[in-house]
Amino acid sequence: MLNKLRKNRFVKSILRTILLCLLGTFILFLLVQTLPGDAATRFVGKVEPEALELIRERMGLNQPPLLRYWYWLKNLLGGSFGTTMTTDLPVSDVIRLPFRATLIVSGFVLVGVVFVTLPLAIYEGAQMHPRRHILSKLSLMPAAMPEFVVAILLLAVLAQGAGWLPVLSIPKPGASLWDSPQIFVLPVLSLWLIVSANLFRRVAALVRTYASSAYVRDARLAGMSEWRVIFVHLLPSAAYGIGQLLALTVPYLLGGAVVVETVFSFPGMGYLLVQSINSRETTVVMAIGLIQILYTAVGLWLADIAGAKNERISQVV
Amino acid sequence: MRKFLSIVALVCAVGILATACGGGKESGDDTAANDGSVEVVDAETTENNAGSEVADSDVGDQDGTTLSADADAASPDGSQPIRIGAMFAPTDTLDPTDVTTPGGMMLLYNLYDSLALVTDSGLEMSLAESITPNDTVDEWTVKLRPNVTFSDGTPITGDDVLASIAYCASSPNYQSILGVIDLENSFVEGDEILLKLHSPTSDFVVSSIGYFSPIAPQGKFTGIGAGPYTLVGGSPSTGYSLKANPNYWKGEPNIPEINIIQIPDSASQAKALLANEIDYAWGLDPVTAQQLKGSEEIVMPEPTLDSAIAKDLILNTRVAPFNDPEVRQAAKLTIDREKMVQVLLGEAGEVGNDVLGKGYQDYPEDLPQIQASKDEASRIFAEKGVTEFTIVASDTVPGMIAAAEFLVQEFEEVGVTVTIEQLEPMTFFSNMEELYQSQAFTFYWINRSPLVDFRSQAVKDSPYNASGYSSDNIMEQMAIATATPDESTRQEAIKEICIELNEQGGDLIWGYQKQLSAHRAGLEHINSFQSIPWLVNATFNP
Repeated sequence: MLNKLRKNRFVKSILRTILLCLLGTFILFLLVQTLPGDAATRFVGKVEPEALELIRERMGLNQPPLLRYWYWLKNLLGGSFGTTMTTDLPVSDVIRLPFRATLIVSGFVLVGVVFVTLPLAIYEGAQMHPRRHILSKLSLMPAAMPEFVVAILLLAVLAQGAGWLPVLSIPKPGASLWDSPQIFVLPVLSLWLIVSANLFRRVAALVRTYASSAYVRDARLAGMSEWRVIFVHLLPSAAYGIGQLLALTVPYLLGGAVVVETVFSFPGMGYLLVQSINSRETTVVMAIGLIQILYTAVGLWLADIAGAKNERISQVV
Repeated sequence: MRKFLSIVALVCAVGILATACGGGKESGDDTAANDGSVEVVDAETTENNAGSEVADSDVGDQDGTTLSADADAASPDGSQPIRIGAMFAPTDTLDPTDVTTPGGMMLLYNLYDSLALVTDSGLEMSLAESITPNDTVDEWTVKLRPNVTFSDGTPITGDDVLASIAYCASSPNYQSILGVIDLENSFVEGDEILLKLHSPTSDFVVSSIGYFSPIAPQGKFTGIGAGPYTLVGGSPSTGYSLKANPNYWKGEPNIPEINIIQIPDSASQAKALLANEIDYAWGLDPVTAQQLKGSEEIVMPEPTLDSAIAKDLILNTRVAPFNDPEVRQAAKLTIDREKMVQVLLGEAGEVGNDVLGKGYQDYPEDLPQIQASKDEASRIFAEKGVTEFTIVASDTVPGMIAAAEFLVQEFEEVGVTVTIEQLEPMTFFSNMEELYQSQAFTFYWINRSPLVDFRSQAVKDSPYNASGYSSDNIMEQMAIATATPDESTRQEAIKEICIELNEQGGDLIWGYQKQLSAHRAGLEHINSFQSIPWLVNATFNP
């Protein structure tokens, strides 16, 4: 019975995710259509109206937007992102390297968040004395700054000032991304700082709530070591809440990369998205949009699961 | 605790799984396909057709993004590999008919050679040994250089030339340049190609073939060409790596390797140059160029008018008030061009004189420069009852709206109120019919030789005759200039057109923005081809 309920909930989640993707991509498609100009005008610049019409026809831009969305969807269901409008390249080829680049950055940031930010936030949240909340106060600074300011500051200090890192986070032409690992440092550091600043404050506040509850106080009064209080008594209750907050940062790792990648000229998905919007490459924009929507959907789904558990626990606590 | 760890593990799994996908090569296909993404190949093992081994460019030894000059890769004359910043589009391919970005153009100019090239030093024969016209300049015979091969060692044939021209001429981006060739009646005869034209064209080599006539085996542009460099690897996301072509007809270039690095904007190029991450930055904007001036290690070459951006205010002769030649004259007398160029373009600027082609061989240098005369302009405007008009402006190239705002102040001084109507750059050129109904609008041209530009600017039925001005005299002089094989007759006809456009035309070309570049000391003998750096003769010893 319980298994059936879980199965139903899982199927519903999948259906909801599909619906979210459909709705999200449709809205994105309409938004791209509202931008001035199209791939044809961007591609040819000054050209005779007749020639422009021919190019529009070749690109399929003379068809109604709804039909074009349908064709895109049909391609997707057939397992393809389609081809670029101007040069007929498979979109999957165009996004392959940027996708990997962004995933590597996101992966490093996630590792940093899990192994550095969360432990520090949990430790600080568990401290009852306000004087020990130094990191929370310090994290206000990057949290209050716009993303591009954090990125530019790091660039100015670590690359232009100290000269420790390259100004451009671009791999060598034709080489693997791993051949130049130093190109990841600034994008990862910027994104980690931005993500951590917000996550740190939220996790510390959440842990603080649990730390002030009666059963944790009792554990301390019983003379248990601080580590035992945190790991055995506090964390099991706070785990789902922390998990929910962590899951909510997953979508940001892709979405937030847009600004950071642009500042460092890093050839990731965010940077590609900006370029593709500028050149009105609808198929590339849609592919990146779909990946981000999927990522967001998975993140929110995990956050929902963790949130539901956390709610039940917090009611008991 | 276990629950906490399982949630963290689940979230991490998404990221780590995804990160795992990031391993391995990112350069795409295994072969140099036409998708613009190619894998690094080991130059050491490549042999050319003649059996001589290709010089080892040893690109693998270079250190990450800094791409430091590798002593092993130096050419016999000591030149080092060079790193150049340029912008690519993610959709760039190795097909010249697709590419419009500066980085893409630079890549293709180096991969595919032309029959002839118009560089900043003038017209140079390249794959063609000679290109000669008949008496009526409507048939041109191209004689190929003997024993010239593509980079893979295959000999270049006349059929390759015709197929390449036919392919490029079918593209909208090259149609206006190569469309003059009657491909159906052109043919190959031995090592000669007879190109029949639709109409007599005396400047055919300069205006068509020399503009860029890329040649590829059987007209298939997959990265194999006869240019000075061959492709090592790269993609539009990161840029491309090229090595000197030992089969190049002129001999192997001095600089053994070119790395064109994807850098999207002028400011990033300047930062990278100062940080020694690139050696050559080009297409810089005036503000950025100014920032580079303080550095002792950086050289800023004197900018030229070759392919400069000519900035124009179109006085539309189709509608009032500029359908009256006297009102056009008043507008021309209103503008203090020197002040405008100084304020808006700085050292990158050159004063315009309402005619394109300044700096090129056929441009009449003795054409009188229009000077501002606000009193006279004021008098004419008052006499004609012109008190206001509208300028449609758009930043199709940076600074056009700023220029329109400057013009508003200038016209205010002669008692004319100007309103600016701004348009989105993306849609500006797709609304030409609407634009041709407005009183005045901002416009730009790429500065080329006068006759080439007049075909767009001054011919009656040209869709780019933005001002709508032409005359029987202009058409007659154009016919003479394009049909005569005699240079002095052509120059006289061009001069007559220039004088008429200068005095009565609807173009107010107030200035030229020259191409600015900067490079590390030690780079010498750089030429430019269609404003793109041309490093065939260059040496680089930093």
